[in-house]
Amino acid sequence: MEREEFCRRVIWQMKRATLREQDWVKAELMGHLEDHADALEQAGYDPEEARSRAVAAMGEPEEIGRALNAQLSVFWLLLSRISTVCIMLLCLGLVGSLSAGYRVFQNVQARFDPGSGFHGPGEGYVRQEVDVRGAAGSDILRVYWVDLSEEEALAEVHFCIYDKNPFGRAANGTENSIRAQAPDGTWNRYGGGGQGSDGAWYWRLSDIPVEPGQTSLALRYDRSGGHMPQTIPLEWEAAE
Amino acid sequence: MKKKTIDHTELLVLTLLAGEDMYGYQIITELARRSDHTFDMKEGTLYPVLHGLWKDGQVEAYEAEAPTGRKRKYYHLTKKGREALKAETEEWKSYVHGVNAVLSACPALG
Repeated sequence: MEREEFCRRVIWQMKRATLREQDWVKAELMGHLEDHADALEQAGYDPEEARSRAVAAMGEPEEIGRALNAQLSVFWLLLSRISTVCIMLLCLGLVGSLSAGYRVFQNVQARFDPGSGFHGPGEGYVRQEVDVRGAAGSDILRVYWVDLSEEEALAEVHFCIYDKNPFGRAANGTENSIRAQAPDGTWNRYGGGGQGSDGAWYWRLSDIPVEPGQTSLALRYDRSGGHMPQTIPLEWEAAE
Repeated sequence: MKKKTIDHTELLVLTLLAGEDMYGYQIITELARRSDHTFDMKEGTLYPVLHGLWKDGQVEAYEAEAPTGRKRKYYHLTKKGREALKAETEEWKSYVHGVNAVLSACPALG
């Protein structure tokens, strides 16, 4: 029997041992076998014979393993495993808390300072700050900027979506649920862009046709079984 | 003479560790040397004994470099171990005294 095989058979019996305890025992037994084999080699045995005799002198590995196992407490093994599980749960909880904390932060930011960190209006556009809010289901849609271009006769609408509950998740996929009414009375989807995460989603609808002097722009948000029309006042004076 | 199995391994191990800190293989070789190779002991059975003594607080274990240059786990006798050694030595002497008393009174051995 080889040294490794001997140690493996000892360790196999140590059901109550932690991995660390098994490593300790293995290292100790391997050290013993090396020392004994060295001593036998010095006494004139060839290396293979010396290793074999050293293993044989140890006795039955199963018997040694069972005796070592009897020294170990099931309580400490259970405690060790429970501790490991608790630490993992704590780590997961911490990650979850951080994620939830960031979500709340985004939700609050969407309520009080939604435009923070975004670029200014595009060339030829003048920005108008508005604060139009409406609810559909648990979602709040807030329009906070309208960029107007009198020359192009176009508008860009900036809005965000967040949940009524600061701890809640904002609805994603909002861009598919928003329509704007064109001057001819039709409701259309418009392209744009957006970003965000569970706390709040920010979107921009671009190239919405408007007529200079038009006093309001109608938006419609269909979501969560709700239907939320919004009318955004347009102030052309600000764009002049 | 036929070798004898050890019935008092703990006492013998504690006795050896009272002299100096030792690692497993060193204990085996020292035991063989001091007993003039009287005992027939499977070397691996030493480790459950050592671990039992460690668990009971009679010995402490630490890692250090052996004279061979390898890292070895040394065992050190604690205060509790010294007290246990004294108690077990007294028990052993009492046992030997009892056996000797019976033997000395045996006419067949006279």
